Amino acid sequence: MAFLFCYGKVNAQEASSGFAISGKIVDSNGQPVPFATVMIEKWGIGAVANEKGHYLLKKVPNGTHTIRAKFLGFKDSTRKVLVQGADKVGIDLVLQEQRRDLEEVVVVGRSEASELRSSARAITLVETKRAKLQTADLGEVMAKTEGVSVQRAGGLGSGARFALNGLSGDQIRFFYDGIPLRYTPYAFGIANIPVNLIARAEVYKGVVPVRFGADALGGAVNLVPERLNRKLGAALSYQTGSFGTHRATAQLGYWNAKSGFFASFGSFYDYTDNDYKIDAAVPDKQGQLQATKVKRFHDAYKAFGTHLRLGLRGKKWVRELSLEVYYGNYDKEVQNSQSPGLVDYPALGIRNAVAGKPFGEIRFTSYSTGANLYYNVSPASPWELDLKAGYNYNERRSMDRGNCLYDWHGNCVRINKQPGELGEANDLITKSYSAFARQRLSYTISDKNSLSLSIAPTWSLRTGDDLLVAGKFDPALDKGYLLDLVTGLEHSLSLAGGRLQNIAFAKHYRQQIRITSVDPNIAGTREDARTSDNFGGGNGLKYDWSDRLSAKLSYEYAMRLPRQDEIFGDGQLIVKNQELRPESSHNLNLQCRYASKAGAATKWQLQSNFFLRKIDNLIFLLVGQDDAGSFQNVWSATSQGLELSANCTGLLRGLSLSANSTYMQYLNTSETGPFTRFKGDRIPNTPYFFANGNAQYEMKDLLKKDDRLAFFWSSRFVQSFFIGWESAGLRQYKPRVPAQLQHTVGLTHHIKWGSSGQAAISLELQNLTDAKIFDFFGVQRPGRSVFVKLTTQL
Amino acid sequence: MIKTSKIKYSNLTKLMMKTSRMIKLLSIALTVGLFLSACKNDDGPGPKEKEAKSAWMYFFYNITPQGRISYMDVAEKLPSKPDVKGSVELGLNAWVYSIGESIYTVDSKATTFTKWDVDKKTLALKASGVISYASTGVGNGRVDRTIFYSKTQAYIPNFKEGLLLEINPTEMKIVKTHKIPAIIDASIKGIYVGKSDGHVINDKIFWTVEVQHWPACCEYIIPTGSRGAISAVWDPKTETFRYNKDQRLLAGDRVPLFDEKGGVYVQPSRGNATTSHYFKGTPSAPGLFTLLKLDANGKFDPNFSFDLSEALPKMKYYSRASSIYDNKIVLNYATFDKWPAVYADRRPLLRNRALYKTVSVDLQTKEVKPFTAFKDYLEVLQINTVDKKTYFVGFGHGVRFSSTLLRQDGFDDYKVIMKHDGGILEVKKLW
Repeated sequence: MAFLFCYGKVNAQEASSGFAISGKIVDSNGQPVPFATVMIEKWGIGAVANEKGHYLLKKVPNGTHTIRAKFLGFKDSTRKVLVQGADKVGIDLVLQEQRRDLEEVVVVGRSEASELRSSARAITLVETKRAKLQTADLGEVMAKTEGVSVQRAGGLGSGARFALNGLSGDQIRFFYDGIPLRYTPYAFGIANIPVNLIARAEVYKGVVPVRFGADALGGAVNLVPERLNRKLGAALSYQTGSFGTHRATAQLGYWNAKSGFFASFGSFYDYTDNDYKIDAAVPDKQGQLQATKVKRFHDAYKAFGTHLRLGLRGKKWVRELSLEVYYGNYDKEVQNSQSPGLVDYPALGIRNAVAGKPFGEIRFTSYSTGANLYYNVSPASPWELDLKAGYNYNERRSMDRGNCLYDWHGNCVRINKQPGELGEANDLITKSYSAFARQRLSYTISDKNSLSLSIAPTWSLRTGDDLLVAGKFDPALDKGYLLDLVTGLEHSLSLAGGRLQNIAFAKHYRQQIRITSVDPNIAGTREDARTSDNFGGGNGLKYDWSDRLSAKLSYEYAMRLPRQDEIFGDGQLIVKNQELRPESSHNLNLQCRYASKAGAATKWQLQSNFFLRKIDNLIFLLVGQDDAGSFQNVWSATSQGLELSANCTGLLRGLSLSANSTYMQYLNTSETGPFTRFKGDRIPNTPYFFANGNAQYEMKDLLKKDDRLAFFWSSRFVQSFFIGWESAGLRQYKPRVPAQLQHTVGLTHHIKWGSSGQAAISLELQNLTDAKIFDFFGVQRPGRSVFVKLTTQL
Repeated sequence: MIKTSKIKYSNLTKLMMKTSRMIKLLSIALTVGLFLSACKNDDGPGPKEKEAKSAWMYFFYNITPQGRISYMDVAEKLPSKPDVKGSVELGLNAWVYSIGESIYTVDSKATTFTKWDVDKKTLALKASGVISYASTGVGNGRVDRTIFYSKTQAYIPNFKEGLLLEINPTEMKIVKTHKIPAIIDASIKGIYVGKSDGHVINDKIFWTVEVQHWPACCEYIIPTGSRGAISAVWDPKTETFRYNKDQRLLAGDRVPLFDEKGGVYVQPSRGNATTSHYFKGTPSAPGLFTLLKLDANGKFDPNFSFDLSEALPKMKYYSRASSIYDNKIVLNYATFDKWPAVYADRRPLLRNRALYKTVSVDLQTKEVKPFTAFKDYLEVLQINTVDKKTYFVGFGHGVRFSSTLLRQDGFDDYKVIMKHDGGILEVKKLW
């Protein structure tokens, strides 16, 4: 660890000549390896690469030299270079990862992770090395992160509301390897993505790097894919358990270091019946409610995704040039609305039981397919061009045209005249055609300064078809054209041997929207268009007092641009508002980290983060007495809070502990509009205090050498929160989501065989106490459940 | 496990100290969170020795990021502002009713019907029973309002499904689900059947049923048989049901108008002006702005019709009328020069108070006079009559969604009773 934080240059013996050698140190994926040591041992000339992997060797004499690059976790790399008559020679070096076991595969990625952690960015890294062996999905893994709240409308595959420091929905942007998540095989929500395909999640809190090219009001999450960094490798996982759940992932990787050719394939399949038991209040013929436990009967989920990436890596003329094709689909039954009725009559023996009617036929399906191009090159030593571009087609269908009235036992008890279980029948197809590019051009001015320009255009065409509308006038057929162009310029500064780092950036957001729709006035089409330009920017500052104590201060004036439907409505009861402004927010973070001494037997780390979000122009659908409405900028809010986290290993050999808690005041500050009366109230229906605790005890060499047996435990607590304004209504009658405390326990046995074979089996008991858990009012989550997972790597 | 047993006592002490420090730090975070999130004390009504002389129930809503959340409260006198803190929160989908001294609430999402008792001294509310109509089919689609016929007979209709649910509110049980003719082919997408309020007149229950395709575009598709003003009549004694239709008006509004003498009028649906744009072929359409009247049996009076567009020839849009008093109707209307065909373009006009005119029209002389008592409101609606006084709600026209409870003391004499930044929806007197 001390090595990682060593930013000083290697002592260099003065050489007689004035030539220079520069370049970049990358890993086999073409990713930069920051802080690697580069040296010409014969002459005692050396340097440490900066956080982007760039190095500069000065005063190199004429002649042939052997350059050696080294870094923890990688094999040394050497190259011969002839310096003769040129002022500057460009040489890139590729470091190959040392072979690691199943868990340590993630450790390989710590070069990037360490860079991010030690950068001036406001970031929390969620490592998945343990989660890969366990059965939790990504939503559950993310929910264990300080500042993150994930509310689930049921079990696996259900809708989720991801909130970061209070902000949620479109205010948070999601990426997969730097590409917007909707343009990947995982376009169906972050919570259900298989953990085994992810190496880590980077949670950017309120301050988002320009390279993502996003209008993220409250932050962003970037999922870094797992990579197999060997000549030939494979990883498989299979999980099964309660509620008819089956989850499988497969990965294959090939890389030829000599030719640079690589291929990577990944795939997943998920299926669950989600038929867990819930408490329901079921009426008899006279309407009297009877408390009963019923199985959810229309909540199954099925998803499949696959991708193939082919290309070249680690060549002199290109760091990476690859093409990825992908396909993903999902099919989800819907058992109830997101806020069905809930009754609580202790006198009748009914405690928090669902009373509303269940759905038996509503389904959502979707598929996403496309191709992405990755190109990374350094045409001249201080320059680097990184390009990601792609095309995506996404089609979603929501079907609600059933006529049956179902009871909670899954019986069709009546044929309704009105089709549609949610209210009115619906069978809507939405299609999106998108193309995007993320271009980043970096220039390393010196080992202390670098500049980065990012240009991120996204084009999309959205249209659809309402299958229940006959005739020409179908608002779903409207064509909406959107161009989002986010341009950013970022300057990085590193002083005092890297102890002081600063990142300053500015962003420009341009949005062009055009909608063509049928106009009954002219028996043709009409066109509405709008263009808007907005600016934002911010700064991140980090200072290390020592290897043990560091602090970060970061700020961004961030924006979220209005969506098409928010500006132009739905052609029916949501009418257009072309005056709609972007949501904006002043985001501030102050992070502190204090850790144990390097090399201490007991390692611990404490972290705190104070956050402030001052949000304005929040968009809200205002509905009038005529049931029609429009989106308007009507409210403002402030979210401030404190996140604390701690982890410790080495108290006992094999024991590791971690815990975190988040408390926030997400308050309404509206001076005008319909929320004014409740200025100072907490924003309703939002968790404001939650905490997590985790422990793992691992024993080694139990049955044979190098095997490991780990017992793990995790708990999560979420304080109760109200559905309505907290200052309105008598407390005893206020609908609220009750407090939840849930525990998970399990054990993992990990074995090795041969020279490279490894496998792990996990047995896990989720919701150990069978606690009745709600994330949304009236939507009960699964009770006690058992899962088994097999993971293997060859 | 074997290795852990070898830990020496001194190491163990160190270990416990380290653990203790960790636990303390985490405890601080947890304690701070729990302390700050601790509940406040409720300031409920204090005990009283005497019974309240009167009790008024009022029902209102607040707007939240999730939607409109409803509340109800009971007070001896109607306050000038709702007691927001001391009210009972009913949730997103509730409506409230009363008969005698009891209050009933219906949650259309939970499909529950709940009875509330009122403490005669403290006026505190307590839920005393609940039933569910989830398995009857009445809760499908838009659920119509409940109508109380007596303390033992309440009805919830669903005209699209052709169902009339009978409930005994005293015993809190479902008595029967009556089958009635469905008003329309319910499978046609986009057909709007308004949530009708029922009324008891002459021992019969009647509803004015609004059937529209609103906002419609391009073709007016309501089947011919469902066009026209419609009333529905249910006779609880004979358990007979019938619809009455009148083609002199394209579609009647779901809210009838009562004059001070008990006369019942069917006013034009405010959707008429918008749907008329989409008539295809020869316009054999009935009147868009004709006022009709019901007789004592809920039938349309063949001798009464009043075409408001004769008095207001430039009227393009009719917004629900406020009252009929002294044979004069008070209404909002608009005279747009340009009348956009697409609803998305129309609505900004409809929300612009400056474009409206509020007038009274004499139903005998057709004389039109400006009416200024409602100048501060976008729309004023009649909600209830208590002690022979009619109560109205005036909705504001800004984004604050303010509303005002008004009591009519004379033709143009309206007294402000209550104001709220949100919606006031109902007021009842329990005793």
